[in-house]
Amino acid sequence: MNIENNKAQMRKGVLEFCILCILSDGEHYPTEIIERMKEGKLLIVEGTLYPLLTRLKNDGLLAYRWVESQSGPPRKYFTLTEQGQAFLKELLDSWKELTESVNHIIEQTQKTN
Amino acid sequence: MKKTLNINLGGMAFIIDENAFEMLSGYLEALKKKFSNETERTEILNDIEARMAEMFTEQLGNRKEVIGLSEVEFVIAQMGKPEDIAGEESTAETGNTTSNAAETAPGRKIQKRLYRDPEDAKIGGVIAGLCHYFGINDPVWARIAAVILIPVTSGSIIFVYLLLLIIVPKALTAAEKLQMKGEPININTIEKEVKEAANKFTASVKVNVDSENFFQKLWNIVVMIAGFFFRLLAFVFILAGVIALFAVLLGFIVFAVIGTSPFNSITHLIVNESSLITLSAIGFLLFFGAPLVGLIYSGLRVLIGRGSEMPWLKWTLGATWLAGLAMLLYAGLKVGMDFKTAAATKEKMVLMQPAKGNLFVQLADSTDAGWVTVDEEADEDEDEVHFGAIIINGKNIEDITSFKIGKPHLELMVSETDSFYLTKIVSSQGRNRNDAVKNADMVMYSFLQTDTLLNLKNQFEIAKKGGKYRAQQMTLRLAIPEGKTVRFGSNIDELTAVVKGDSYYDDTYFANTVWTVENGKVKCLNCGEDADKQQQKIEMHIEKTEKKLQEQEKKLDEKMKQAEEKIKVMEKKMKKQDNGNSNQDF
Repeated sequence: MNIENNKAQMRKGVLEFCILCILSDGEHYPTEIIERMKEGKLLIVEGTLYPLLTRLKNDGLLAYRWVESQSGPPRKYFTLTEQGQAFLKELLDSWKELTESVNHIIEQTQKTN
Repeated sequence: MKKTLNINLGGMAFIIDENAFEMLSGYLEALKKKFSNETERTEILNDIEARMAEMFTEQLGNRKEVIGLSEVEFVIAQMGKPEDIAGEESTAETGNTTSNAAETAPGRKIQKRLYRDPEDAKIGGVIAGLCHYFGINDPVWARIAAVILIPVTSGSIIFVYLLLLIIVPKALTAAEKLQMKGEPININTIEKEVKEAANKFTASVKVNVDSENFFQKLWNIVVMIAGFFFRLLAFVFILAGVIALFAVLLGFIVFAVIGTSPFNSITHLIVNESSLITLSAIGFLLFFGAPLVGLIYSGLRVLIGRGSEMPWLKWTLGATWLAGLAMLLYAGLKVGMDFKTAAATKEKMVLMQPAKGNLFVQLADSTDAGWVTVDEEADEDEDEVHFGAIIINGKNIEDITSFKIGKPHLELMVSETDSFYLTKIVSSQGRNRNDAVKNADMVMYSFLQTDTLLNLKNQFEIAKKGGKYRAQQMTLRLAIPEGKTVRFGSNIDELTAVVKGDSYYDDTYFANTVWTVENGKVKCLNCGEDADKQQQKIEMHIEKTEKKLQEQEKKLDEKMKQAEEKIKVMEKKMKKQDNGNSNQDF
C-alpha cells in the first residue's frame, strides 16, 4: 500500500467537503478560501483549488459571479447553489456519523491495547 | 541588462524578463498537460492565470515594473507544482467510485495475453504484440533485430513470423487491447482506451478531408510512389549493409581469431607483433563496421518510417569509426617504422674456375614456379584432405618452408683477378641500420656449379619461420677475368641484367649472348646479331664439323685399306715361307 496515495485520497475526500463548508457562510473568491483553509491547518497549494472549484461548479453545486478588483483582473466569487446546500447538509450528516464511528473504533482499540 | 517581453496574463499586461518568461510558460505548459478534459482545462487554466496576474500585481506594487525570476518562483510556490495539482486531479477521477479505486490499486498483477497489435502494426502487428507482451516500450528495436535475424537464420524467422501471424489473434476489442498491454480491465481504463482510439480516428479523418482537392490527391499519389521507391532503396541499403557487415565480421574473424594459427605465418612476415595484428584487426572491424551499422540503421529508419531520433548512436558510431581509424593508423605507422632505414650487405662468392676458361650461365630449371617453396617430404602426403587448410599456389601453407620474394638483378663487371667470381649485394629496410642489415641477412639464395655450367636460381627467398619481408632487393655481380668468356642461356632474360658502368649495353637482351673482357672492358661478342645470322653461323658450324668428320672418315677408311693390304701381303709372305719350309721337310 502506498501511504502517500492513501493520505491524498483521504485529504481529497475532505477537501471538497471543506470548500462547501467555507462557502456556506457566504460569497468567497478562491484566495479567501485558501486563507480559511490555511487557518484551519489544512495545507494545500493554491493550484489544487481551481480544478476542484471548476468540477463542483460543473456539477451544479456552486455558482459564481464576476466582481471587479482594485488590484488585478476581475475575481470569481463563488456561492453555494440550492443543490449545493442540500449536498452539504447530507455530507455534514454523514461526516458526523463517520467521525463518531471512526473515533469509537479508535477508542475501542486503544482500550484493548 | 536583460531582454524583456510583454505578456498578457489573465487579461492584464505585464513586462517580464526573458528567463522568467521561459519559466512561467514552461510551468503553464506543464499544467496544461496534466488536465485531460478539454473544457475543464481551459477554465481551470484561465482561473489560475487570473490568480497569478493578481499575485504579480500585488508583488510588484509601485516599486518595480518588471517581473523577474524571483517573482515567478514565488507565484509558482504559491500555486504548487504541477505534480501536486495533478495528483489531486487524478485521485479526484478515480475517487468517484470506491470499487474502481480498489481495482486500480498498484501491486495487482493482471494476466497478460499475447495479441497482435493492429494499431502499431507495420505488417501484421506481431512484433508490436510481442513487445507489449514482454514489456518492451518501443518495438523499433525488436523490428531491427528481426530484420537482422532474417539472414542470420537464413530466412527461417520469416516462417516463424508467418506462423505467429496465423496463430496469434488480433486485439480488436478494448478489453483485448488492455489484456495485451497487461492493464487491468475496468471502466476507467476502457474509457481511456476508447478515447485514444477515437483521437486516432478523428486525426485520420481530418487528413482525408484535407486531401479532397484533386491536385492534392495527385500529389499524394506521387508522394506515395516516391515513398515506395525510397523505402525500396532503404531496403537495398539495409541488405547491402548487412552483407557487407558480415564480410567485415568474417574478415575480422579470419585475422583476429584464426590469425593466431596458420594464417599468422604470412602476416608475421610483415607484422611481427601479434598484438599489432589483433589491434589492426579490431581497427579494421571498427573502421568498416561503424559506417555499415549507420547505413543499416538509417535504412531501417526510413523503412520503419519512425523518427525515433537517436543522436547518441550517431556520436557513438562516429567515435567508434575514429577509434578504428586511429588503431589502423597506429598499426600502419608501427609497421612503417620497420621500413624506415635502408642498408645493404655485400658478399663475395668464389666460383670454381672452368678448365677451358669459358663459363656457361643459365637459370636453374624452375619447376617449382610460383612464390613458395615447400618441404618435399611433407608435400608427399598430398592425397590427404586438409580441411580448412590455407592453400597458396596449390600448396598447403603448413608445408611451405620459404617464400620467394623477388628476382635478383644481374650485373656484369671486370674481374680484378684472373678468375671468375660472384658478388651478392642485398639491400633491405629496417627500424635502424642494424635491423636493416639483419633483415638483409635473412635473404636466402643459392646457385649450383658443375665445371663450366653455372645454374642460378631465378628468385631469392625468405624463410617462413622467422623470416621478415622488409622490401629486400638483390643484385648479383658476375666478374669476368681478362680474355675469358661467359655465355648466357636462353632463359636468362627472366632477370634484368646490365653491364656495370657501361650504358652502351643498357637495352641488350642477354639470352644466348657471349661476353668477354678485352683491355679491361666488358664486351659482347655476338650482340646485335639477328636470329637469322646466328642460325646461319650455327648451320655453317655444323657443316664445317660434318665435313671435317667426313674427311676424317675418309682418311680412316684409307688407313684401314692400307692396313688390310699390308696384312694380305704379310699373309702371302707367310704362306710362301710355309710352303718353302714344307718342301724342305719332305
